[in-house]
Amino acid sequence: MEGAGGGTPGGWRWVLLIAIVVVAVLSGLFSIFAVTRFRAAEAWVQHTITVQAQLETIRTRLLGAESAQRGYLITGGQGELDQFHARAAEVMVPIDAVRMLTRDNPSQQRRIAEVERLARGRLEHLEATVRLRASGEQDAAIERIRRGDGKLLTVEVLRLTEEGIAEEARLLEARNRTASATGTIATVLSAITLGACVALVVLGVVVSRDLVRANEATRAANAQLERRVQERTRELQDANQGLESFGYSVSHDLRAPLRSVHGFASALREDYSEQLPAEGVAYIARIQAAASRMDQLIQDLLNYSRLSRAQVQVRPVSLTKAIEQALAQATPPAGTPPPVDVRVGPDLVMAESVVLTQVLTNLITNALKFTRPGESPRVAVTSVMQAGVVRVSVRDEGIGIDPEHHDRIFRVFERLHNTEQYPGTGIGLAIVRKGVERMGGRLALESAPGAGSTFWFELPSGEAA
Amino acid sequence: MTQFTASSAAPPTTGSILVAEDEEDDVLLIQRAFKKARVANPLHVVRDGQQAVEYLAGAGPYADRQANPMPVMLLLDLKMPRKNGHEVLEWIRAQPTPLRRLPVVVLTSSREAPDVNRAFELGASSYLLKPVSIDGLVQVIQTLNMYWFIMGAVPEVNE
Repeated sequence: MEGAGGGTPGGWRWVLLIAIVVVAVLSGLFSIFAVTRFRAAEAWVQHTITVQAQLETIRTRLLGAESAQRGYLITGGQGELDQFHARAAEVMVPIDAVRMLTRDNPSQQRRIAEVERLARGRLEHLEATVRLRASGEQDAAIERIRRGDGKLLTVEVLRLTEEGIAEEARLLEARNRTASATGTIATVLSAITLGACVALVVLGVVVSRDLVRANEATRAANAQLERRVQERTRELQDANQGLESFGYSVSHDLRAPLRSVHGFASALREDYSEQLPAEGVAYIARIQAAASRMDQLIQDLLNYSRLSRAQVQVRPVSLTKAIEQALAQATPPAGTPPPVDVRVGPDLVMAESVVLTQVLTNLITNALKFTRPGESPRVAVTSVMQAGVVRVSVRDEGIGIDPEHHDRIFRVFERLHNTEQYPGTGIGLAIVRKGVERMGGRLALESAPGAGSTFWFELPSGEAA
Repeated sequence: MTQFTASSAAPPTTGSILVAEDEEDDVLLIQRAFKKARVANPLHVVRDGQQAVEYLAGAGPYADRQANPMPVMLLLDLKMPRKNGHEVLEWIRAQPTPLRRLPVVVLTSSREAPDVNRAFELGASSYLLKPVSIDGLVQVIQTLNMYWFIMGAVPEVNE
């Protein structure tokens, strides 16, 4: 989204949103990890307690076996003998269990191995006294006990298991601390995750409300734009209508008096020229010439205004044909075709054929017209292709145009010469410019006084279309 | 049958031409051009669209067909008071035969597309432009005469 760019108002919200999402994801992951660790630590605590209990069991069972031996030595009964064997057999079970449980603890392993050795020694000792009593040598058995070497073994086992329990207690404390710490961390991380999620929800609500508001604003702006476009279109339609009715009245009303001027001047000359001095006849000729010029002006103005408001739809048009038509129009009635050198390279251009012909006619007529007095015109029309655009040039070797006038000659009614020198209405190049513009092209002039003029325009090539 | 009718009927060149034109000067120039072009058809002139309709209908002051004969052609200006040329044309084409088949040649100075298009939509027979010079107008009238009366044929319009 563009809002994340930060340059727009409300951009900080997107930065914040991303930050919160990152925090939520990270703290969520870490809290899962911490909870796993916490559960492992708790398992270790449980394990330690189990080891301690087994060590305790070793002690009670060994002492149990001892007291069963004492019972048999005193009574010599079969029941007491069985009791002793059962107790003696049970002693090795917790020892095996502790060895299994403390596989990962070398000092405990060493200790349990020693405990086993001592316990076995002690059990053999007890076994020996029991055997003496069974063979009736009760005194020898008592004597054996009195020697005290068996008792020493028991004391040693008790000491070692005591040590083992103490070590497990230390481990328990450490593991408890770890469990507690990871528990705290897991709790904190979970709290952070929860907080981030809540913030996310809040921000989401804020942002979505902003989006809704922005949408409404956009829609309102669009509606207003639509209204303004409609208004503008209506204004343009009105203006167009105005221009059209202007063209209508020019066509009908402006020409009627002109016909009268011209027509009755004609009638005057034809019917009464014998009664007029030569000067009077010349005046009549001037009146007629002026009326003709005015008529041409009106025609050019109408063409120009029609070009301004007509729908111009471009399609591929043959340049060669348009130039042929333009040359035909530039040829005076019953005259010879003008001396124009035509070299068309790319032929198809995107244009409107009537407008293109008009543009070419005006440019060619101009090129033929503006020659030095007494010189015959030399005009060349060429087309070249440049990157999908066709450039059509109309070049003459005539009088040329000072660069300071290059802009104004394209304006309506602008002229650089009087009509005796070079006749014309001053609309021709305005029509050229308007025509090229309406076809979506580009028009330019390269010229200097005495160096001739090159007018060129560019239109998209019609080859691809 | 057409051949028979055309050859047996009175030669159309003698039929009169009705000119509907509000500009006095233009009327004079048209009359002068007809004279210079040596077109013999008599000209009758009405000065607006309403008069043109009344003349063709034989109504009011135009009831006398001896003085105001049914024309073989109408030369019609477009911009006129009361009823414009397009309205006259529309009225003619909405009449029963034979009036509806009257050749109507628009003669105007407007070459604006809406004027031309509408005229042909309404059934104009031809559309000619008034040139500024009298010589031009003479040419137009000569051409008109050549096309319609010498080389071509016009339909019967008289009841």
